[in-house]
Amino acid sequence: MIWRETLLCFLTAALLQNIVLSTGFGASMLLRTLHRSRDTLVFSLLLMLFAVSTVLLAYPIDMALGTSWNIKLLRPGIVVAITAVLYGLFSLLFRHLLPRFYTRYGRFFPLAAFNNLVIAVALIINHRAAVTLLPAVGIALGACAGFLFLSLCTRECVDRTDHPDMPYAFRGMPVSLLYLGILALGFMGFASSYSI
Amino acid sequence: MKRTSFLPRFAETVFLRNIVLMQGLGLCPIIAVSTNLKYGVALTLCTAAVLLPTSLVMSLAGRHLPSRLRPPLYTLGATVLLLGAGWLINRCISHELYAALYLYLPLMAVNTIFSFYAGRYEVHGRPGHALLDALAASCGFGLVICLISCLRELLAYGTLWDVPLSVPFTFSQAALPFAGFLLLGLMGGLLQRLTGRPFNAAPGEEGGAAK
Repeated sequence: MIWRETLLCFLTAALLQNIVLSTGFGASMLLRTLHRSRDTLVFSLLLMLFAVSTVLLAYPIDMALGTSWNIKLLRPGIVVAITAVLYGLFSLLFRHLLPRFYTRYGRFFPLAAFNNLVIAVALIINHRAAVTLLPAVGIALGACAGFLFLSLCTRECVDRTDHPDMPYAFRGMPVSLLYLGILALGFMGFASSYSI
Repeated sequence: MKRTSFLPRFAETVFLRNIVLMQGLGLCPIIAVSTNLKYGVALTLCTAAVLLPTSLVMSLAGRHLPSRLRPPLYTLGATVLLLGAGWLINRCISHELYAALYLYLPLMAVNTIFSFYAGRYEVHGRPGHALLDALAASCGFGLVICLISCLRELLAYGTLWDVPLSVPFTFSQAALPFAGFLLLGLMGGLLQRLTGRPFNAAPGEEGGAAK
């Protein structure tokens, strides 16, 4: 039963109610990592690492703190502090265990760790979703998988619209945003199926 | 800084190098929350209240901090400032406004505006330039979010600042995120057409990147 709920949460966050399209979390970074496929993939994997580990650490703390207004005021600060600790920890680990990877992609670490998507997923889980730990991890994984899926779709759109017939005014970011808007409109049709 | 260079530099950052439409930063709050002019103004003020001090501090002290410590430090600093802003809004302005922005207000701390903008003053940049750029970037962000908020509020609810206006029709779906993406795309296209400058998101220009 719990695995079914986890899978449902994963699919909802990734596709049915894609978190990037339904909230805009991570939209800026999505547009900025489109230049190279490998960058997109590495950034999405780092996002997944930080999102899942933040949820794993934040969830029990969140449950212990309760839901009073004073605690609600402090919760975002607690989540950011947890992410800061994880950022330090993973930076150290990667620098010592995978130095070549860290030299090449170290610039993505702070951008992935302190990302709207990572912090928002940890906040949404208690604020809106009220799920147990495993489905919460499913939401985090789904949100990042949805980010990767959208990045790949948008990259394809950018490649196909890089054409002399495309009006100059819409080349680059404007056409990507219009594409994401139309995609969001399409995905809205799934939203009523299952809601986070 | 020369007095004469103030206005052209300010105008260039607000319009020609607009932080949202030309650099693609800070899209999340615009897509999700810009459905009411009140929210747009509140987020603009919060952005300025955080971007000005973080840019100033990073331009003064950034170079003395180890590179790996800078991103968590300015994110934590921005979070503390935004939690303070949230507390002020909740206690002194409106509980409803705070409840509406609850999820998005603290998320401004991890907004790309701060990681790219405040971060770029960590190694170079004079405090005067940093302050001017931060002010102009906040104004550029405010201009876009307030314009989109006005349009979406008018279209979705037929009101402006919660005041009902005689609008011939309403389109409630304008409050949904897809309308934010579409309006941003159209405004980006218009600005690109007017300025003749393309969107600039060259990889590797990120501020606060670990070395």
